[in-house]
Amino acid sequence: MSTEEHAVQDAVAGWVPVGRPLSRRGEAALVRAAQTGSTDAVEELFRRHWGAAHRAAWLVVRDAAAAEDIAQEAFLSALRSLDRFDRRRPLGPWLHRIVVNRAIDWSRARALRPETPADAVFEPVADERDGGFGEDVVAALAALGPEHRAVVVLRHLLGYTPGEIAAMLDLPRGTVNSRLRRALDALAVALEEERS
Amino acid sequence: MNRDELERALREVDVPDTVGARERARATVLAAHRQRAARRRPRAALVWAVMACAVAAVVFSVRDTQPAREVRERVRDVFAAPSPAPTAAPAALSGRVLVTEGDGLFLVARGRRSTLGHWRDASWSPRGLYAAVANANTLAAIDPADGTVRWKLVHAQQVRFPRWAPGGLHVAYRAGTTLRIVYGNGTHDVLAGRGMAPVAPAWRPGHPRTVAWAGLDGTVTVEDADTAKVLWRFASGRARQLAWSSDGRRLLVTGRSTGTIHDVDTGARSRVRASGTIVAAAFDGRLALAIYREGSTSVRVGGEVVLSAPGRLRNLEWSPDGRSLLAAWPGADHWLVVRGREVNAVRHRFGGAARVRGWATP
Repeated sequence: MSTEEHAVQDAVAGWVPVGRPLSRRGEAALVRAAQTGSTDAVEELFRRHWGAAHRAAWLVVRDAAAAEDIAQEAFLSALRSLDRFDRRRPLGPWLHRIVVNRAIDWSRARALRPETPADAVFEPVADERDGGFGEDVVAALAALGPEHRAVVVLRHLLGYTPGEIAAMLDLPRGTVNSRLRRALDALAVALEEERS
Repeated sequence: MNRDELERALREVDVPDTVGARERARATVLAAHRQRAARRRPRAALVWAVMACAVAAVVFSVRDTQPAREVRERVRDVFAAPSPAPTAAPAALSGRVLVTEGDGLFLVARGRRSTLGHWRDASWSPRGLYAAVANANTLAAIDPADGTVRWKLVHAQQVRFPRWAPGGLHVAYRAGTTLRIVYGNGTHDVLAGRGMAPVAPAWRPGHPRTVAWAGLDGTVTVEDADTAKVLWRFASGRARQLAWSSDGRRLLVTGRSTGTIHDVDTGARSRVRASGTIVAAAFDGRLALAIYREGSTSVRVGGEVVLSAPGRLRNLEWSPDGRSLLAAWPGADHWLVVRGREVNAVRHRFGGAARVRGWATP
């Protein structure tokens, strides 16, 4: 008898617990488990959603420390409201909405309250290297305003429709479409200049 | 550039410090979840206990029965004249306490005290992983395990009152007469307000970006730390202390002998009058006030006197779970810890200038 057949027999006989591994469970089941206190479920939800949330935050704010804080705060905020969360809805859009709105707020605040230098500020030093087309895109994206960066990230990184983006950012759909159009035009011009 | 190229670039471009950021955030999120789960567990039992008490109260209060009289007597006993029981073991002081004495910062935990360096003021980060500290013109974040400095900022003016926001994202502090706010990792230090009074800013619980601060002109401002948007501003007279209730709904502004509690949801105000000088206040689930009059200080919680001792009290601090209240008198060689009907005297080895700066979980 193969190992797999042994495992099946053990399971049938009740020797080992049978259940779908967390990594294969649906999101509603994970949220339900998290609501009842399961740390494993929270960890699995974190694993599924952290990457996109962190990347989206960084693409909007272009600041590693702020992106980490914004994405982390979005998760903590989601945790605090977990009891009230409707399990029929997916978690991702809720998280992304928090992340992108906070990232826009942060970028506006930074413009509103420019840093004033202290004598000794810890600041990580970025590597100087040529990152190719991806870096050019990100550099061109950084030249846009935070509202435009946000719609590009929501549409082309996270894959939301203009209607969904409008709901997330509390904007008319026409405004989202026009911001997208202007942002893509500006990106195309910037990349063209970079190539030439 | 076509759509596929753009999407691939956004998906694949390197985000700095991805792995480190993920692991730090993962640890923070899981720690917050464990704390939340631990807090939730007793809630069901508490609800049943409260319901049982309510039923008993209704039953016994209908008639002036013997059990009703006994309940009244016992309740009165708790608050009447508690006599502190000296404890050799620091069981009453579970957790970690930051104490400053002169320009030395100390950590008191499990009955032992360790030095954390030369700092005059300090406060815990929300989960007690770091402490924000200040001395002269330096603001820093240190590791409370050994005092290692994680980051520091040096200003031209004196730095005081570092206070960490409940979400961990910001630290507010006073530099000269300005309010400044810096990210919890020491970056993005910004000027957030001018003409700040020498009163510690107070972050609103449950609203990690909302901070209240007192101005030299007698106003109190509540504002969003990121957007600088003023949410409320009101005249308060000369404020001595600001403290939020644990639900983030009420803000206490204390003056010399009066206080005002502002309900920021409804706009309602209620006055707190003291028959003496308010020397300390702590607002958590309950309001604790220390009132100095005629050579002695009495500590009131919800209007009832829970402690009274000669001299002028220096500190009041609620424990992280909001169930114990620590009171410190200068010159005394012990702190008094009130928990329910017990009052314990916990011995310490600090002098008269020592101040308790915060009480965190173990």
